[in-house]
Amino acid sequence: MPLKITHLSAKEIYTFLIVCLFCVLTIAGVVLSSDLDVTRVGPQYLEGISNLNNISNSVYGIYGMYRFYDTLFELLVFSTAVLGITLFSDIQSAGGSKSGQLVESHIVDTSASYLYPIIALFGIYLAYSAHRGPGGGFAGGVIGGSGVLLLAIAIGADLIGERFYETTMKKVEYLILLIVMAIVIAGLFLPVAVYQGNGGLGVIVMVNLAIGTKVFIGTWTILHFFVKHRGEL
Amino acid sequence: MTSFGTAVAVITIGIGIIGLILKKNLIMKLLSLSIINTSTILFFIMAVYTPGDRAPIGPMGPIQMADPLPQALTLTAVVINFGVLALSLLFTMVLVKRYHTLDIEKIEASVKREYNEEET
Amino acid sequence: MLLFFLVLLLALSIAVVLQRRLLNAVVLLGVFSLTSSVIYFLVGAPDVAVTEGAIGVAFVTFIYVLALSDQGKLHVIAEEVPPFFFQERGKIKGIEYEVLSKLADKLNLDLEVEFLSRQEVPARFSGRRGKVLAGAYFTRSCTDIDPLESEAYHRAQLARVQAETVPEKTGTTAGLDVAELQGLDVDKIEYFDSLDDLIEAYNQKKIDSLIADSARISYALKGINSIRKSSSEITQIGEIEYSFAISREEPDLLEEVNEHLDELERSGQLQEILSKYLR
Repeated sequence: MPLKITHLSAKEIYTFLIVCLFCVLTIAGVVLSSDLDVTRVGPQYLEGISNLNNISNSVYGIYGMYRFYDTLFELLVFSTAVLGITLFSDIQSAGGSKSGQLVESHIVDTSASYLYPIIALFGIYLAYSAHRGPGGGFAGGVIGGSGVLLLAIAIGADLIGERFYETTMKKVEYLILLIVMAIVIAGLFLPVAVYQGNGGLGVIVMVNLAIGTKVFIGTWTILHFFVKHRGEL
Repeated sequence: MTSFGTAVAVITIGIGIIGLILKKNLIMKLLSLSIINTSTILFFIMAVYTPGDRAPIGPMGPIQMADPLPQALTLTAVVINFGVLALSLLFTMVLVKRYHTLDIEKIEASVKREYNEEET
Repeated sequence: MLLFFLVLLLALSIAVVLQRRLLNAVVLLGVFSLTSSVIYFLVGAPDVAVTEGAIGVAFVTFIYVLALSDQGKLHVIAEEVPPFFFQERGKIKGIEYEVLSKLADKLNLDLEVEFLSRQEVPARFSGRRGKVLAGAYFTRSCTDIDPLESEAYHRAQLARVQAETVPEKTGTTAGLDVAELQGLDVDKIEYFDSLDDLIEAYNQKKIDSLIADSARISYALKGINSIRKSSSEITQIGEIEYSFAISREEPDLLEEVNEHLDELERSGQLQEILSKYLR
């Protein structure tokens, strides 16, 4: 005898089943992860880093020693996303004339123009000093980008460098990707000593600064697009 | 505390997935996706946490230190999530410009209608 | 400490998924990111905390708010027709403006008014920007946009201004492009896009009679020159109902407008507003 569920549509039954399935999976996940026994990072990792005696932030030690290619390809993913936005920004014309400030206030204006250099400096510091303290290329680039965000809010959408962006930034963006690639690929041919010991420090700082610039320009591109197309959803 | 942290991460992932499936609004779907992203990172970090860990910065010695490997793994993921999110918002904008709605079912219906019109 | 933030994270994730208003959900997601950033800091991951803080709290929230910045607005497209919707010394006034601003207060939205002339309305109303069309809109007065219509809030007459010298049903009649005009028993009919053109044509004796709704007629009478006016007579030719036109993509808004009009009528506020402007 067939089961009769008349007051529910097929779609609702499927939805209910999926929700049940995920509840079961979630509970199973909780139960399984409660006695999760993750072995901590192997001693060989930390030993490898401790050879680099100038690097005290072991997160970036792991980057410098083991994860250069990984970082490169993650950077490629980010660049692809930004490239997509750049292409659509060219195709899609902004609806209507959208210029002017987002916030009209002298206090915000003035404080933003004084704060921006400090924020940018802090971003550069974070990218530069990642081997010594928390920070790194990604964090530094993002903090620098948030300075641009402040400018976009305070001074206006047009003034966050429409012309400068269109002419210079687009080219520099991919140049920096090439620089990171060159540094990483050079590791195949250069002697290991350059990447370890005191030489390794220079490479890590260079890569971090390059990543920081790349992420900074990427976030700038994204902000530029969304300020230009604001209110379209 | 480790088990509670991972449990919270798994439950939030579950909530995000349920939101992703059940919400009909495209923006709500993207927000649920953001929840999943953040919770996954949280899971990675909480899985190796033992109480009393300090940041893996400073001379490596006998002091108890947080595991730097998951941090190194997830650090880039945060930025990439942002790039992917921006791209998906852009595609949402394209859809909205064409179909004038954020409701996924209405968009599906109009896509189907357009397809049928092309066929005939 | 850590326990508190973990529980907060759980609660916030549920709150984000349960939100119905998009902007609220976006702001809650920002708080969610901030909480997770604090947790990363507490468990000894400052690098991730800095990145998550900058990205999740500043960028993602800002981008969402930029993209959704029109969601918190009630777009109104209006024709300028005193006393229903007009500007006086830089301030917007009128019956419909007061009704709509009360609605915007109730729905927690910002009212954004755009004044357009009659010809520009169809192009602007079809997109997402026009949600409510106001300015003495009455049933079937815009034959080219086909909107959803709210309940009527005021009844009025369709009137004809006619030169006395011309006998009825002869000569040229003119009016705005209104469906009611098509059923009239007259010789020759012309359609005008703007009221000012209509008045000027009447003043220059290009047309012999002029048809419009009572709000527009009372505005037109001010524009008709005195010689022409003294030799004119006004007759009532039909009844119309003023309402709001709402974009077809916003059926929820229609319900809310109807509910709001009902409420205003029951509490007597609608009569107050009407008697304030229509003396």
